[in-house]
Amino acid sequence: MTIKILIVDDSLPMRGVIKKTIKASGYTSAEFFEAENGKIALDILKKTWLDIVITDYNMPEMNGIELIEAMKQNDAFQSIPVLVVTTDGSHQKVSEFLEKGATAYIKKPFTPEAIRNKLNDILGDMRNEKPESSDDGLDF
Amino acid sequence: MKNLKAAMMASISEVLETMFFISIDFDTHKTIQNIDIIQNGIAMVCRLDFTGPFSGCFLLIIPEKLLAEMSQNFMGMEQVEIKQQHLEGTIQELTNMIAGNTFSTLNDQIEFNLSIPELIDIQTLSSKYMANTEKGVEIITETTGGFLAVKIILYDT
Repeated sequence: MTIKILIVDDSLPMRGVIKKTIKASGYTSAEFFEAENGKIALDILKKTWLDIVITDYNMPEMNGIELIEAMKQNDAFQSIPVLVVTTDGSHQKVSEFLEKGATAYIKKPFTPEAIRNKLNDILGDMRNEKPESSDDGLDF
Repeated sequence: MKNLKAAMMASISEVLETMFFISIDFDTHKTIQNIDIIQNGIAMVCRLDFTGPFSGCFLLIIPEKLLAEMSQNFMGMEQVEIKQQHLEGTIQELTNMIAGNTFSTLNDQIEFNLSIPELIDIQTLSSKYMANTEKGVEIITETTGGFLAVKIILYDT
């Protein structure tokens, strides 16, 4: 089964890092979609059924909280889990993410294990393979 | 100010070691003025504004060669694959992570609002942000690939 994952972050390198980390976590056949902000993410959501949305908070045009709010107002998207990955680690902001409907939260900088553990918690064991013991810094 | 400096150092260490796999040392004797990354004009500079209980801006200054190495580490790409957009994205994300992590290390009960990081040119850095009268903290970090500098300027409220 192919898992469809949308990564929403205005940073091209960060989208690449998250994608690489997810693949190394064993989700080798995952299909990835990418968006630079919440608005583009909503456009993708309208066209494609997704298993999970992984989003940054601080983005131009539409930030991560605005994206979550828009998703929760739409019957078609409200059940899709949202994992927030952001630098903003204040208790107030984390509470706000969760109150608005985020499923879980990871603070940057993150370890590969943090991404893997949260994905496993949210998606169950939908991995295609055991995680790699790689030589590119992604040791598990 | 002492707490802010300690939080910045903890944040820089955590970000560079966790996401970029780089070991670092802090050089407490050097200043941005007396390391040669500005004079050579080959560095990239990123600025991020913040507001909260106190307000100001973060500046991150990195030589392009070191930034290229960091981009490779960060994204797991080969040197030939690294394009300008990867360098720009890497320095923006690095600035964002160091700033956000500094504030949550300082006190995670307090909320700061961070702007989107923007690139500025090195001449603007020298003319606008390097006056000795500014209130703030600067940290010089030594890596195997060279120095990088982080400066936080605090605005009067």
